Amino acid sequence: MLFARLWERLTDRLRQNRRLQGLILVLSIIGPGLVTANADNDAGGIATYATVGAQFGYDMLWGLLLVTISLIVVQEMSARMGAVTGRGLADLIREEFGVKWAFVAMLTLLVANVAVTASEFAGMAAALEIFGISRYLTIPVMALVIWWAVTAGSYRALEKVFLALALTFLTYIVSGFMTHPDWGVVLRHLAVPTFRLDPQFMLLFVAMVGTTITPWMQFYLQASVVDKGLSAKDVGYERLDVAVGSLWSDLVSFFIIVSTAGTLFVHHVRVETAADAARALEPFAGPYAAALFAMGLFGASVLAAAVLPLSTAYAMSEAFGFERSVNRSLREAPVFFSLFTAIVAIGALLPLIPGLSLIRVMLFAQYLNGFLLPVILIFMLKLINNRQLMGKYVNGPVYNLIVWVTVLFIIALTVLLLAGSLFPGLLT
Amino acid sequence: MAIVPEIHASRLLAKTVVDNRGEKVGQVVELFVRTDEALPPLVAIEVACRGRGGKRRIIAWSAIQVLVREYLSLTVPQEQAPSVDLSAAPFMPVKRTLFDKQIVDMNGLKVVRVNDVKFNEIGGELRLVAVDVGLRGLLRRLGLRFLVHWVESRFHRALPDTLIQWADVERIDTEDGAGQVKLGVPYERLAKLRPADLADIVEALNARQRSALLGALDQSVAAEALTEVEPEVRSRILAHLGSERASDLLESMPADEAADILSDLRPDQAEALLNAMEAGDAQEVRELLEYEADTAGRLMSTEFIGLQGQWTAAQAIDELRRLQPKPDVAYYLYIIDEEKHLNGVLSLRDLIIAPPDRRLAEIMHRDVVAVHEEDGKDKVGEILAKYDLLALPVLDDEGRLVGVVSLSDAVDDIFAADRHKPRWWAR
Repeated sequence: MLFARLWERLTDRLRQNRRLQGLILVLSIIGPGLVTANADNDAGGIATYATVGAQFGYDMLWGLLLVTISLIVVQEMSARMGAVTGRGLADLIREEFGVKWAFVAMLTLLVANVAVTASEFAGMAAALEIFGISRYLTIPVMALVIWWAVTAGSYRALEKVFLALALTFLTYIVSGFMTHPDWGVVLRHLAVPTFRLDPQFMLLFVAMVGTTITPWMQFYLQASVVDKGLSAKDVGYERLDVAVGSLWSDLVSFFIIVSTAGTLFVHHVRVETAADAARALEPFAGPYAAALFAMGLFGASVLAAAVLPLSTAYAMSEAFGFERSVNRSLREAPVFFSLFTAIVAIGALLPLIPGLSLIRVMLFAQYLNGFLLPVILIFMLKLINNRQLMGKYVNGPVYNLIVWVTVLFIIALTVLLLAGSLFPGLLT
Repeated sequence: MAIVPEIHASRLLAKTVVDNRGEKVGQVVELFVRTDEALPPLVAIEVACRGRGGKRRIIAWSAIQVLVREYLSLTVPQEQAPSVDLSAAPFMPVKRTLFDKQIVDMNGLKVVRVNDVKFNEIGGELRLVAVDVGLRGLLRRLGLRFLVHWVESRFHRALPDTLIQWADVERIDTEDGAGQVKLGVPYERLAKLRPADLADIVEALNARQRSALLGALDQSVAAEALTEVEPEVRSRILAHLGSERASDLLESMPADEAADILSDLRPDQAEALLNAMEAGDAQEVRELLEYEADTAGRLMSTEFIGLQGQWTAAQAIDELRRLQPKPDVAYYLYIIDEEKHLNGVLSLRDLIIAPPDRRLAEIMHRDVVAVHEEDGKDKVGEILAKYDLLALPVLDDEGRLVGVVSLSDAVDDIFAADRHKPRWWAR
């Protein structure tokens, strides 16, 4: 997953060397998609997939497969829109739909991202609680560190450290194999859908969609494609990039589910704390599972907690026309910095509420992401099918179908869940 | 004609038009101003008629009598409402061209987004006087005016109305052509900015606007601005500009600047642009690109003044008049032989104070401080600083003069190398 991100850094370095440039060409275009797809496995992602595996075994694997297809399609749309228009998603929404719809989109993004930021801080706290460090120490300190690192522009240096930490999640793949799953059963669950009219099941399904295809990712991916200076000519490479990145990322997700199913589900252990989730790594790491898991969770959480508030503040400033860039001073870009600071602060405060289960905070953010995703997807569908903007690069019918099915499926689950909570007994 | 002291476009756009019998005509959906005056007067509105079919009609503003709450009333029955021929003069649809779009504030030299447009009554007409780019305008458009009042009464502070006078607004036209008549020089005021200021504005625009602006500006102005744009933004601009225009711009800048820009691009992009450039220009750039990054050869400019030692001071000054060199090229004059071997150097001052009949070989300094083309940029910087030079000649293995690193090149490439902090998102 984040492995790919390191690889990209390496190719950037190599690009300086003229002799290797031809070789590096393809790799350097393949980049933004890989990065964003791999950022999927953040704190909320781990918590969701671990809960899915622990609670329902292999039952949701078919869902993961379908979500992966949808993820590839949606990410490809973001990348294509960025390459063809050279503009960010927030800019396009504001200019094409006007200020009110831009407000709706930005409010959606803000709510989802504050929640996800909170889940990242919860992730850091949960990771360090394994080492006996109180969340009331971890969260304030890390909030300050992240705020400072980003505003002082020294985030780059820290990024490498946390990337390396997050790489430990690759061990899920090993651990998955070491649970010796019955691969025939696993394959059958991938291919044959099992659905339950159980609110828990449906809610987790929404969370799984929400954590795999996140609203913020679409803004972030499009921004980084624009930033790379890719144009319509590069759409072919982009497709490959996005597909590889998404598959790679969901492969890790798959193994998280397989290893939790093989360790927690069989013993009927619910994921209540990070230490529970860490047990999925025991087949591989034995007594060091908890420490390994904590490192990975901490690294992934810090990375996302820095990027999320920034990309949110950036998109909102883009939509509403405020000066935006960390290169500007506080006086030059007051709204941008205030937004960034506020999102970090609120995100850090939420998991500090006494008595809240950190795992619940992480999961809750993913439910919210899932419920809000259709809003962003519908904006994207409208934009990408606008011939004035996209010319011949509008969506084909298959793409549209896949995304609409995703949207309608989430909406259907949402309605069912709402109905279920209004009329208890409707769902069993 | 309805007269109010001031009104925002967003309020007019929300109104329903009724005729003098009280019959509803429809909803205002667009406002047209005539742009041949410094403060464009409001001349017509577009009304979306009620009922099925949703016909749209243009009604002259002169036929509007009063403005009451959410209604605009006509002076005549709706069948007789006068229209305006929109092809007769330069008219601008206010909503479509300004609302939600990015414009350049020529006073603050910033790119901002338009939230609303303000009309004032001047000389009996409603005229477009300013665009609103602030929070207040934003909240008004969102229909959250109560929030403004709440904030103001709560904190006893007026929310600032961030207005940009119409005279200070520069619009970047991204509409694709049809029927648009361009008057005068496009972006006249932008073209007069200092290249570095123009570059800041270009950076803040979106891709479409950048292409529109750089496509319309005079080639040399656009090229100069482009050299001042941050490297990473530059590659984006070139990618979206299309190879024809992009290669034109590269041709019209000094070879070292072009090489600098191309070396930041992806190799395939750079190669495509080099192929699209005129052969001679491309060759010069290719030679510079042969040098390793961060060497004197890469930093140097190939524009310098080489004079013959046997010339007199008067002849040399005549030659300068003929060449009309740029200021930073003219500081030092290099004395070279037929094979371009560097024999000596003169400052412009040395030349001017010398008697007119003196030969250059007699007044030149023979002890020239120079660097080799493969010397690193740190060495170049050190020598420039140590000897307080404005420029430093660059020699090849045989001692031939191949270029000059000027202090201004060095400031950009050596001393300000960390001027551009990385962007926050992953590259």
